[in-house]
Amino acid sequence: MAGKFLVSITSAKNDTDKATVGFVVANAAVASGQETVIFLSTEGVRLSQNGYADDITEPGFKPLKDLMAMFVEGGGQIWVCSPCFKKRELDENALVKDATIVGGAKMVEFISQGAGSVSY
Amino acid sequence: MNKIPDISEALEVAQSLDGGESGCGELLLEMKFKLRAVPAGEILEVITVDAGAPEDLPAWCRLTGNTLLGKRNLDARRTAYFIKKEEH
Repeated sequence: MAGKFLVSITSAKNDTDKATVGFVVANAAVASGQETVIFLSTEGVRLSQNGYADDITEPGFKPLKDLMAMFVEGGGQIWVCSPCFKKRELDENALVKDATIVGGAKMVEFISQGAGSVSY
Repeated sequence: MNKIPDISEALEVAQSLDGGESGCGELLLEMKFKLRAVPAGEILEVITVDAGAPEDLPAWCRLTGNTLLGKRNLDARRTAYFIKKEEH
């Protein structure tokens, strides 16, 4: 019973608990056969940069870099908010594997196709 | 609350996953990856201490179209769940 599921993550090192749990829930969705997208916006876009998450490990959870790698290996997609990325002057050449910079229309299109969503 | 049948008899399992302290999406993705090595019709054993598993694993099986055959309590913390991989 494949469906669409979007997890919005708006935190990075400013709230590592939210950033981590967002990926854990996204992993539950992708593990359950859902077409799953993580949408990184506002501070969350920092997670799109290679190496940024390497030192984030919440007690009781796997390291965030491992959760991110598992998500992509499981078939999940990472979308990165274009204006949020630009505002922070991040590096397009340093995106983590399979991350894609997108505009809001891409997310709106996905949700309008019937995706459920949850925000962290 | 889902009622998961208790299984007392020995089952032949194709693969076993000791999830340790993992739960939620961490455990479920490990299950997804492990299930790749299980032929259709055969059984994956998942051992976990996760308190959410009694609700999460039945939901995961419904979503993925596999069958939760039952569970066995191994000790005070650890439970083994037996999942039959279905043809898709």
